[in-house]
Amino acid sequence: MTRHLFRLVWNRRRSHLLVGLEILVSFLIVFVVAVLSVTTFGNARQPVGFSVKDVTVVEAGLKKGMSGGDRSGEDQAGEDRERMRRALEAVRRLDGVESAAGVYLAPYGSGNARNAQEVSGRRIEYGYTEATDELLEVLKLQVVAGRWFSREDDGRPYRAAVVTRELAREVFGGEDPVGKDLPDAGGPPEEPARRAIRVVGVVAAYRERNVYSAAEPFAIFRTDLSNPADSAPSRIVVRLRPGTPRDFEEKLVTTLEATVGEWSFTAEPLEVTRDSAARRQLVPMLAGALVGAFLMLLVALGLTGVLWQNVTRRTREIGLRRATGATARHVAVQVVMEVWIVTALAVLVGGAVALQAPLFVPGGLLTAADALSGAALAALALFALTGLCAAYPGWLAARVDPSEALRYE
Amino acid sequence: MIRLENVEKVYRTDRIETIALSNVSLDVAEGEFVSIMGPSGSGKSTLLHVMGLLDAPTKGSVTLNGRKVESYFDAALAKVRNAELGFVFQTFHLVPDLSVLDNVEVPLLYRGTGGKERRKRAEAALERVGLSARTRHYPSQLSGGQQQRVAIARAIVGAPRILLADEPTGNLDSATGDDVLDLLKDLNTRERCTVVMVTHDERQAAKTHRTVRLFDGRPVS
Repeated sequence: MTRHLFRLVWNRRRSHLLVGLEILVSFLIVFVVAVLSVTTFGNARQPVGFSVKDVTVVEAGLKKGMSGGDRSGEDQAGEDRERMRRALEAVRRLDGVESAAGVYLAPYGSGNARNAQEVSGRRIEYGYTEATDELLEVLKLQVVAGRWFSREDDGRPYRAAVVTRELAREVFGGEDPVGKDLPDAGGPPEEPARRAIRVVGVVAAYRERNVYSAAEPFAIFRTDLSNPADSAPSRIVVRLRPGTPRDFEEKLVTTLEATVGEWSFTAEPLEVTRDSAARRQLVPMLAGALVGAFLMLLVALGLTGVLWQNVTRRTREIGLRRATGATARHVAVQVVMEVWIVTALAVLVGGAVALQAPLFVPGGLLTAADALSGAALAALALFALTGLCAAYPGWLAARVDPSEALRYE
Repeated sequence: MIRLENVEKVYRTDRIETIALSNVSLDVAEGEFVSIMGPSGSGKSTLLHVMGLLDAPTKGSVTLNGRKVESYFDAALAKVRNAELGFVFQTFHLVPDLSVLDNVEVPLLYRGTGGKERRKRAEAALERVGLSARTRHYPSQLSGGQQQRVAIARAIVGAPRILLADEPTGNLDSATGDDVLDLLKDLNTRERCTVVMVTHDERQAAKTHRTVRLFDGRPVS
């Protein structure tokens, strides 16, 4: 029967062309939505590389009306380092604090810092932050090779850094990155030579943008508050003792403002920041999915109309099939099967196009496996959609009285 | 073979009630060639559709090969139509997008016959009607007479015991119509196929074993 229907559909290919094109375009739209969903929710299942529970982020900023005055940049950087050192000490003394670290950019924050380097003719981009030694215990980072930076790196001619596996792979390929320097294009000739950035360890992951983002190359540079070459961090990440109530944040802020009068502070649990970042990522995706769903609805209505008309046009054929032994169910199944054959052809073409997508998405953000999963999901969705669209015309066709159908003009 | 007892068929709409058949009783014996005649609107086609289980009578009973079929549901009726009945229509009812061979195969699809066997039997049926050279053609490439032969091949491909023909020569010129009638006659004579044919043509009716005349849905003598 399938072969018979395939021949019928093929012989009617001209009249099926528009429907096929409509299904093909729908497939591609659903594929994009499916791939985004697959990658997004696939990423959400991956480890972020750190623990957010019981961690609070404190943002420090110059109080309103305060300014650095007419001191040089170096003087001001030195004062800021000193203020941060005092702030960290004050926080660590508080009952309820397990550890605290200074950090340039905390996870899930709105800002980001990026470096771009040429390595063997390839441009490599990576995100980075700068942090004091205690970040390891505050975020419970997992070092998988080498070591975390520490006082062992004091006074060295290089700046210690810990990188993610992705960055290590991008820059060093299969080689052991520990002990090697990250390539640096160098600053303008008039600036003094920058310190080398030495990889001392590798962490399993550090997905700091949001829970739905892919694991990206990332580096954490060491900040030594006693080193004039390093800038002062502007945030403090604090690991609280489990069960510490939320109102502890107020105590934290009051203590910090009493310690560093020139700065103002705001505190927020890292879990809250993470959830806000996740929402920011999800809202446009959901909006896109809604637009896609609306388009699908229009396609579904159009398709139902075309199939309905098709059934009416073929009333006599339905009558003939009933006269030669087709049951009502045979007729309904035929209507659905014919649409599914057109769908299969459109999905084959669309699938061939969709599976090329990883070649055109930069940065390896779309893997062949994700494209395959997306295409499979889109195919399933399209078969379900076209099946649903054909169900009502199929039911109508099944209800056609064979005697009337044979007389239909 | 076919027995109709006090068959009545009434078509009802919101406003009108049309009596298409009224108190029709008829017996068709195995191997008979019966023609049904009557003016337009006399209920000839309705009678044929009731015999062919395409339409259920409003009253009365239909017995086919000794089995009363009024209690049959859709699937059982379809099975009987497929196995025991073959239809030939005035307007051929060929599927225009299928080749001659594919058109002839249609009844076998609903019998679950395998592809090779379908092909073999369809080719044999086409040879029987003298169209074995046209298997790859499409209906639009054939003359009216050839199309009706294809329709007859489709009707006999499943080796039914009863052929129901609704004005099979109505759209054909007289010479071609005679050829088609000769073919039906040959099927009746050589293959003991029971044939019931609706016709307007007295000359053709005269070639059948018996003529049933209808007027306003009632048999007249």
